[in-house]
Amino acid sequence: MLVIALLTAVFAGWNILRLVSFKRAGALPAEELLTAYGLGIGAISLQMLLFYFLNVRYTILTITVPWIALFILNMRSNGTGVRDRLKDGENRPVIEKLLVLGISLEVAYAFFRALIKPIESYDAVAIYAIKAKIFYLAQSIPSDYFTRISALYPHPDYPLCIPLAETFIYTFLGSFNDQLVKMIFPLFFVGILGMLYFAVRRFASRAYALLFTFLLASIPQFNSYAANAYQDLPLAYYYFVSAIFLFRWMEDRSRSQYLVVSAVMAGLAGWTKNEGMMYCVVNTAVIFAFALLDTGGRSWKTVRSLAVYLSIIFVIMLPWTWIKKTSGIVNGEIELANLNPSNMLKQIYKIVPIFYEFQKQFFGPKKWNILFPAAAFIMILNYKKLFQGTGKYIFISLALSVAGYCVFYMISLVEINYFLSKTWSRFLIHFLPVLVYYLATLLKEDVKL
Amino acid sequence: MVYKIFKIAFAVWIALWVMFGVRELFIKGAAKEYGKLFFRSLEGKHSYLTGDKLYELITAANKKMPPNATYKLIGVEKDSIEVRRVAYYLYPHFETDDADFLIIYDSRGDVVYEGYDIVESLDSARCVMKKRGAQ
Repeated sequence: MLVIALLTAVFAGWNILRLVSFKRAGALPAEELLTAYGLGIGAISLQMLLFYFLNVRYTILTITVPWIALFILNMRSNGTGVRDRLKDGENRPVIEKLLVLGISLEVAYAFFRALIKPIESYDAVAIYAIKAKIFYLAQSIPSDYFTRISALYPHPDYPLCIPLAETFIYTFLGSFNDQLVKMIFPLFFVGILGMLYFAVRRFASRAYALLFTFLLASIPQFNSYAANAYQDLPLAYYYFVSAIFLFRWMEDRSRSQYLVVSAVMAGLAGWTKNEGMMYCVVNTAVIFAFALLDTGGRSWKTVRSLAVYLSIIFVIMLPWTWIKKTSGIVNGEIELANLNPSNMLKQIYKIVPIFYEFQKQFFGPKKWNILFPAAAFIMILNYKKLFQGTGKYIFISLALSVAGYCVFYMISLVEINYFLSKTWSRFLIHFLPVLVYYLATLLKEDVKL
Repeated sequence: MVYKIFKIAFAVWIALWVMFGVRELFIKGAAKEYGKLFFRSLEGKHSYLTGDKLYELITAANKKMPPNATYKLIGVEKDSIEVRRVAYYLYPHFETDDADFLIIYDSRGDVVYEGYDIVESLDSARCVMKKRGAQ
């Protein structure tokens, strides 16, 4: 049943992609599959949230029927399109085999680590798994959940994407198996690696794409979060896929399907973690920068694209925002009212611990190998390329991500040193795949594989 | 030149990758832990991860508590991961101050819990108490 549940998620995602004629954009079948998985998980969890309003119970039938209906609807539409072709490159069989071996080891280890233990780490149990158990036992979100029960457990304001995805798996399993449910997390890991591989493969050889995929897969912190049932890796997935498709749309604006899927993925990032909302803002700012820099602010088409992008995010976030607003659920850690110049000035002292913690991560090979020093070195060496073509938008995206987290810390109500020690090393995971992708674009002419 | 530097950096990367992988598995004891977990049932894994003694107590309490009964956990550090795990395992029972059951993990001999009777005693430190008159 676990396999059927996962296939149902892919089926749901695939139907959405078909609805937006994703194939016409030229995406590769493997990219479609990797996108469909995350999209399906996000869409089914949203569907389960909507069941709360409609008072529908969670059963295999109620979850599956809407997607079968969409499938029938999609059968009418013409889903044809010309797939993109990957560049032919020099074959490096030995290097490729070694890199595939390294990636396979990391992937196998991620699955092993995830499935050897049931859910047990602090946030995974206290914040997410408990919610999934409540929903599964009630076969719905109980009517007094938001007004009473949620307050009994930490962070009622955290979005419900992953708890509802876990409930979806339990519903298919027909039992509360908090070991098998962890399967969804290493699959996000595979999703990121696969998307990175194909993104790099579009402009480089197989060995080169495998090299950067291996680099990302072998970062210890990244791999360990593929197994601990935290939300950071799913968030990294949604942000990465949304960013990749956004950059691809910038390269060819006739492929509007990429923009639509990017917006959906950004919305799902917000539905996965509160930090995901920041990535919605980051992507919006990047489109805004694109409208100013590449179209001279004259293109109505780009303005319209921005409106479409924001509308999609708004629609995805609406049910959850509505529930939070009407139930009086607020975040106890971040106070947006603190986001004003006078308060920011008062909080300026936090810059020192923020950068102290950042340098600890920067030079911390235990968690990150030598990624950050190497990235800094590559950027200095390639400073002329930093702002070339789409690269400047990747740079803006990364810079805004770091700046966004600094602002988070500045307006946070939590004691800064405690907050930093608990979060910086996780926040860095969120934009790590985009950083590795950026390095691959910067080095493409220097490292010939 | 960039390519040469890249090759050196990659060699350092691989060396660190192997070193930290071996460190985690064999020095920090992950391999040993996997060995202990591998042949355990799901229940056995919960027990190992929570601590066999605490898990035995939770299981005993769960058997004694009727539906909708509330509990209070005593002898475990507030907001610790153990408290979170107990709340997770015992749901749909909720923790309250004026609880129907007391789950005592680390009893202090001199503390008397008035109005409660022992319904399950596992050893001198661990027991489950029920409020007099509770269902």
